[in-house]
Amino acid sequence: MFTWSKWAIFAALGVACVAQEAGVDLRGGLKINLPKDSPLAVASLDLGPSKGTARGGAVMLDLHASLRLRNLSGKRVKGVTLLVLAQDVSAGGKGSVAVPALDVAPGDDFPVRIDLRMVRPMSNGAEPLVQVLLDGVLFDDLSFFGENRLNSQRQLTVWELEARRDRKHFKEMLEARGPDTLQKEIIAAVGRQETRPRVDVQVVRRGVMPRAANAPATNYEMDKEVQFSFLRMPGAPVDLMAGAARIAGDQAKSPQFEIRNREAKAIKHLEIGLALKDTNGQEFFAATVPYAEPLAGKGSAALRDSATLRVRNTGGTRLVLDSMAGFVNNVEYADGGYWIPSRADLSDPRLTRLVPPSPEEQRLVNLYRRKGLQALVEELRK
Amino acid sequence: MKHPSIDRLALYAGGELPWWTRFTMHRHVRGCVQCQAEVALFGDVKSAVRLEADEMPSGAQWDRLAAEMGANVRLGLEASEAISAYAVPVDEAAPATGVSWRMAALATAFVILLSIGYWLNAAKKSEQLAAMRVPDPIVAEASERGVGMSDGNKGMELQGPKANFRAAVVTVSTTGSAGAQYVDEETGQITVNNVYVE
Repeated sequence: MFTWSKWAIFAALGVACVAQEAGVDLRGGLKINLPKDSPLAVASLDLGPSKGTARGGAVMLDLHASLRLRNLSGKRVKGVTLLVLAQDVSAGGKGSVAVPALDVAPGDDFPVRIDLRMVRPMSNGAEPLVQVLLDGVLFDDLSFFGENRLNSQRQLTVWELEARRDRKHFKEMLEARGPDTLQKEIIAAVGRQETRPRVDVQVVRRGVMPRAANAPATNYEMDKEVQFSFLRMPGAPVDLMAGAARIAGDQAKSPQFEIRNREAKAIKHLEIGLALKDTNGQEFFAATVPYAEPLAGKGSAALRDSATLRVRNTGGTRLVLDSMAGFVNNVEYADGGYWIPSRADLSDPRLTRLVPPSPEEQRLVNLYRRKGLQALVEELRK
Repeated sequence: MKHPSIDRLALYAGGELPWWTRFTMHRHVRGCVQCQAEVALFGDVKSAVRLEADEMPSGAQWDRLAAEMGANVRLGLEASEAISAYAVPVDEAAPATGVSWRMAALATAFVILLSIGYWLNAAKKSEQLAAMRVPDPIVAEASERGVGMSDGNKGMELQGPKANFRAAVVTVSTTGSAGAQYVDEETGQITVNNVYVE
């Protein structure tokens, strides 16, 4: 039974909690550092409903920055990556906000939103809470500007090549078969988007994945080694020869592959896509496994990784993994060239379902959903 | 969704929780398929145990056991009556031996000494445990709502823009990054957020 003394204790605790929270001045909390010779400039910055709250020795920051960047170069901007640094947050606190599938003319502005939440120890006030740096800008001639600390050049170039492939595909379809066929193709893309399994994915690079809140307490799930199946693309320059990983419940651990370069050109970097299937039969794209060692022409190599992945259905319900499949996602050659899957490579129904849409396909599908077929046709005819 | 611990679910299934806790648990379990399954499992176990307990061992001579138990109870009652008949009145009993103040002071000093020793040892042990504890690995996570990383104490999250979250593409890389690709509903632009664990 509650007595007055107990109510008094609760009230005192409540007052203490409120007193512990104090607003943090966000002026100077966000610093945008662009290099002097940057092809982009900050046209405006709005911190909107951002707020910082001090709780004990920690700061909770809820940052909502609307940034407008201006293209000062003489070329069209096709993609940008901003590096977001939050000092003193775990493991360096590094994030990035990238905007691919752009087409910004010289002198024009474009928006970038940064919505960041973080908890970090209270600093002495000398350093800004968050720093935003320009990691890279990709132009329409595929030239690049930037520090490239996050390998933005590779990622922005792959996105741009995918954008060109998909625009060409839809444009050719429009010109050869008319708007009705284009509409059917876009509706199919909407359908794939709507029926894709919705999962959350976690990764731990090394060590043991912390126990999930919804893990069963009554049984211990043994690891089992599972061989990968491979989704082959006729045009892929790399063969996945063999591969395996350990599966335990909702976790997949330590994937390893044997790979072989089919071409005479040396490879600098390649990325394998990983699809997981659960015991209910739902299959989904979950992760990429990069290989960043030089691979000689016609050479073979073994790729071993120590990472652990965990997946769960969006909303938190648990799933149990059953099998895995791998496919070659993209390749960067030592001579600076790239390989990405062609639309023909992706025509296999399983690959069509599993490989995520490129940013450009996602943008065009969204344009159709919001503005209709006519707007899409006009966009493709630009 | 945060699920109750397995112990609380077991107590709930057995009807052994206080009414308020039982009420809140009931509200959770009613809406949570996973906890319903756990509760049902505990219910099955309880029924099985009850069934087993109900089965009488064959060959047990229940009449003889009951007679022996009755005789033991009667013997106890008679002994108790006999002892009270010989009991000495309180006012004639020997005076109770009190604890001298010296004894009390000594005992208090001993207890204080023990407490200090325990406290010092416990503090040292907790320091040793803290030093031995392996730091939590940093987990990077990608979901429709955002990408984030946390080591259990500190963390950061890059949230997605106002978007159709159904259309978000989430993925992680085994190099320790987590990413999500969104279409911004306001601008129609694509935004790809990533966090990186070093």
